[in-house]
Parts: sequence; C-alpha cells; structure tokens
Amino acid sequence: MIHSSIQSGDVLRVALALLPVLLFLAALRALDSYKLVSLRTVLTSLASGAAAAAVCFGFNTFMFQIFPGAQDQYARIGAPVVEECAKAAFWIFLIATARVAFMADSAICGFAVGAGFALVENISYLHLLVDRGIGTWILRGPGTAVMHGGVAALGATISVYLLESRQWRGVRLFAPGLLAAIVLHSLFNQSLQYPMLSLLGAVVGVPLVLGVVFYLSERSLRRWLGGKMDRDIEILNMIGSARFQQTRVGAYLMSLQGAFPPELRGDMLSLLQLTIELSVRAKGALLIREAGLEVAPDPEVESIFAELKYLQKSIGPTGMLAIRPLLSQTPRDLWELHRLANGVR
Amino acid sequence: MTIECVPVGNKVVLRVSGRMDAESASQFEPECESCIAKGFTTLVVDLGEVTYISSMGLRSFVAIAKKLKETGGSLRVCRASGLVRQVFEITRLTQIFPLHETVESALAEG
Repeated sequence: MIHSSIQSGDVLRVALALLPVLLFLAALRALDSYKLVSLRTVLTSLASGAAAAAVCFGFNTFMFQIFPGAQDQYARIGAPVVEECAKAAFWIFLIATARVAFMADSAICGFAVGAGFALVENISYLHLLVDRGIGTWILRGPGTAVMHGGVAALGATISVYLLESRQWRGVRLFAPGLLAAIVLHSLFNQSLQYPMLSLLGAVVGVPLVLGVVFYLSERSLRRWLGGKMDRDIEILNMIGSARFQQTRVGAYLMSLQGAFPPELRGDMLSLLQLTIELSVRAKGALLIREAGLEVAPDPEVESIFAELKYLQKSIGPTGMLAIRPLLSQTPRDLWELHRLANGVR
Repeated sequence: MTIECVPVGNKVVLRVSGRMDAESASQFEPECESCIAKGFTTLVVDLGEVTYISSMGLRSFVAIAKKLKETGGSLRVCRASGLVRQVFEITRLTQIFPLHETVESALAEG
C-alpha cells in the first residue's frame, strides 16, 4: 500500500517535470511552418538524449566516488561539460551529415535531445528528492528539463547559423555552440540554490530565444528558397536554349572538349540537368509546405536517383572532379538531396 | 507582364503574357484576389504567352490555389509550354492544379 502510494507520487512528480517540456517540444514542432523535422527524427533525438543521460549518470556517479570532497564544484562545472558533450554528440551528427540544415530544425532536434536527457535525469533524481514536497519538484523538475532542452537547442542553432553565414567546418563550426551550452548549463547549476530564479530564467528565457530563432530561420529559409530556385530555373532555361554554349556553364563544358570524349560530356550535361531538376523538385515541395498544403509522395524520385547513380558511375571520379564547379554542394543542397533520397516529403 | 481578365459565366479566364518574374509576379496575386472578391470561385489561368516563371510566380499560384480551395473553388492552369510547363511539372505543383492543354478543357472540367 505504502509502496504503491510512493509509486503514484513518483509518477506525478515525473509527469509534472516532463509534461510541460514535451508540450513545449510539440508546440515548437507545430509552430514550424515548413514542418521539415519528421516525428521519427524527433523521437530518435529524444532517445539519444535519454541514452546520453544514462551514460552521464554512470560517469557522474563514478566521479562523485573518486572526488567525494568536490561534489559541489563538480556539479557546477564538471557535470555541465560532460553532459553537454554527451548531448551534443547527436545534434552534431545531425548537422554534420546534412540531416538538419535550418536553425528552427536544429532547435527542435536539440530541444528533443535535451528533453530526452531530462526524462532519464528526473527519474534518477526521484530517490534523491523523495522526501521533498511537490513544490520543490515543480521548481526543480520543469526548470531543469527546459534548461536541458534550451541549451542544447541553442548550441545546435549557433552551429547551423555559423554554417549558414560563415561556412565554417569541423571543430570550428561546433565549438562555439557547445561552449555556449556548457556556460549556460553551468550558470543554471550555480543558481540552483535559488530555484525560483532558475525556473523563471529557463521558462521565460528559452521560449524567448527560440521565438527569435524561429523567426530568423523562417526568413532565411524563404530567402534561400526563392533565390536558389530562381537560379536553378535560369540554368534549366539556359540548358534548353540555343545560346547554351555562350553561357558560363556551356563555356565550361566546352572547355572540357580535349579532356573528355563527347559521350562523357553528354553525360555530364545530363547529370547537371538532373541535379538541378532534383533541386527544383525539392523546392516545389517546400513551396507547397510553406502554404500549409499536403505534399503527395513522389513516384519518380527513385528512378531519378537511379539515373543519377548511373551517370556518376559513367562519368567516373576524374570527370566528377571536373564538373564539381558546376554542381552546387552547399550543406543545404546536400540536405535536400538527402531528404529526397530518403523519401521524406 | 500583362493580365487580361475575361469572365465566362461564373468562371473567369486570366490571360497572362510576358515574363512572370519577381517584380511582375506581384501583380498576379492581387488580380486573382480581385476576381475572388467579385465572387468568381473558378479561376482559369492561360499561360500560353508566358515565357518565364520565377519562384515568386510559383508562390503566387500556390497561395491563390490554397485560398480558392478553402472557399470550395479551384484554380486551373492551361496552355503552359516550354520552360514554364517544365517548371510546373518538375516542382509537382500539378498535384494542386493540373495542367490543361486548352482554355476550353480547363473551363469544362468539373
């Protein structure tokens, strides 16, 4: 009887701590007008955050045992470093593999990783705060959960911003976002002795920052969509016109005359046209999404990718290297190809 | 770009000619909206004389199609050829408004 009442109390505490965070995550997804993050990616992000928390729980317990006299300092400085690095592994993977290319999407995925982390962390805290009242739990639970989601979202967003605006790569790309997440997490942990302040900071600050991120992201996506699509349409127009050889692309292909046989140059032109067609196709789907309409499955995309593969093989590595200047390979171009190849509408 | 509106019963045919680029596409949407405001629920857009369409033009088409769908009406596109047809087909906007070969077939649909 006593055991079951503790259990129901535990469930209430975890629900109080996590329900607002999961609702906030659902609201973030609903607010995104393009809805580019699939439910599957959100669930995978939650699961990866939960796995990161399990690893950190083991590691932190080990550190507490090794340095029993420095638990407080570790909680303020050491734990944020370990936990943010563990959480960052997944959002870095998403950005590095071009699965996420816009700030709003990175914010949703980052927040989901943090929410997954908070789920496991709050369950592990149940036994520590079991003698405290629901009030303490309300202050500690949602505040920490929003903080975990918010700092991971901000870290991921900073990285996508740097990728977009500065074209940074590697450690340089991810270090500033990760550092910001660590610093904010550490500041939050320092303020835990004032739970009301930390709760307010998290539940007011995080939605405000993410609101700005969503606004900027949508503006950037609209600009990119229009600009890139117009350029692609222009190239399609040129390829089909009689004056193609006088264009920059045509002149470049003509300059390869001595190095590659005519049939291979024909394949190069086909590859260029197909890549642009795929790009326009992906943007058409974005235009439909932008208007809030449903995008139907694309039955032709599989055969187009098969043709693309055939052309790449026929052209060979040297030929591919030669036409690389004509093929747009920005992270967003790779992202949209990845979406199309995986049948994501 | 020029737009000529010709009412045909309870439908209206919009004859568009020229380049539908970022600048001129902004005329198209208000023209369609004024037709909707006059009570026309079926808009037939004749693109036979359009030589180019930009993303802004495509956006206008999607926005008008959405507006008409919400009011139970429909947007029909006809006589698109060359690059314009190619762009409509590649972007698969044809899933929202199918392309018709002639004005008559667009008017006859439904």
